[in-house]
Amino acid sequence: MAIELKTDGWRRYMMYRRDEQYMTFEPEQKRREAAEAGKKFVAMAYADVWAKDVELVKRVRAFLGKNFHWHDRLVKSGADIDVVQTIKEMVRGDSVVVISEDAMRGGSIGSALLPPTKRAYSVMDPETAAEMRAIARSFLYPPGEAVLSGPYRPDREACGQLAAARAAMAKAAGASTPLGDAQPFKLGNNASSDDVESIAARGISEAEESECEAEYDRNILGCKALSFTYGGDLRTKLACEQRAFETYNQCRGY
Amino acid sequence: MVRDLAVVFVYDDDTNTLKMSNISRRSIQGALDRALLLDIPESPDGPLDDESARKLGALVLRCLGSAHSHLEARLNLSELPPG
Repeated sequence: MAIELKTDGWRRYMMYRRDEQYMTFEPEQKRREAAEAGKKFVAMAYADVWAKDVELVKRVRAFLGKNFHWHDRLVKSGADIDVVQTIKEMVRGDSVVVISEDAMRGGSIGSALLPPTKRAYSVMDPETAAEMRAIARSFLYPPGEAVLSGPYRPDREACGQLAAARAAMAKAAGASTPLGDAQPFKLGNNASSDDVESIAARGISEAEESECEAEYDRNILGCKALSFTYGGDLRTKLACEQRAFETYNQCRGY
Repeated sequence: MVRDLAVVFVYDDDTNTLKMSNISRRSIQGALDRALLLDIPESPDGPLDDESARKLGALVLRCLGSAHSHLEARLNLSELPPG
C-alpha cells in the first residue's frame, strides 16, 4: 500500500515497495522513468532536513513497519535521522520506489523533473509570447488529430478490458482531491497471481516466485542475525539487505 | 585429512534437538554458488577465541530460532555488549 513520502510545491511523492504494482497500465518505459525521477528526488534531499520533518518521519516509519518487518526495531526506536537514511538507502537500492502522483496520472516525466518556468515567456513581448504558445500548441496537438476534450466518457471511449481498466484508473486517479487530505490509493491487487503477464514475460512460475521470496526472507534473516550478534553500523546492515534484494531480483529474472 | 567439508546445523522439531552434519561441500556447491554468502565479521588473520565461538554459536541459534518457535522460546542469549 502506497504511503505519502512528501509533498513539495509541485506534487506529491508516494512510496511503494519495489514489487508493488504502481502505474500498472503504463508502459514499462514510463514506469522506469517515473521511478528514476523519484529516485533523483530522494537522492537530492538532505537527510538531516527531512529528519526534522516530524510528519514525514512518521509516515516513513509507518511505511517501513508495514512493509519491511525486519526494520521493526528501527521503526519503533530508531533515531529520526536513521529512519530517513534507511529510506534514502532503500530508494537508492531500488527496494523502495518513489513515484510522483502526476506521473501516475500520465503526466510527462520530463515536466515532472523540471517544473515549467515562466521565465521563457515572460521576457517576451505579449504578441511574441502568444505566437510561441500557438506554436507549442501545434506541436502538442497537431491539426487533424483527435484531441480528447470535454468530460471523459468512459462508456463511449471504452473498448475492451484494458480501456475499461484504464477508465477505472483515470477515475480513481483523476478525482483530484486536494493534496492535503487525499488518501493514497492502491493500484490493483498485489497478489502475484494477478501479475501473470509480467511473470510470463520473465519466464518464471508462481512457485518459483514464491521460492525467491522465501530465499529473500532467509537472507534478510541472516543479515538481521549477523548485525544483532556482531553489531556493526547501519550502513553494513543496509548493504547486506541490499545484496539480499539484488539476489532476490536475480532470482526473479530481473 | 577431510578436505571436502561443509558443516550444516539443523533443528529437529520432533525431538526438539539441535543436530549437525558434516557433509560434502561439493554436494552443495551448486546451491552455494546461487546463494548469498554473508561474511562473518572476523579478521582474516586474527585469532578465533572463545568470544568468536560464542558469537558464531549465537548467530546460528538466532537464525535457527527464527524458523523454529520452540527453539526460539528456549534462547537465552545475552545482548551485544555496549560499544
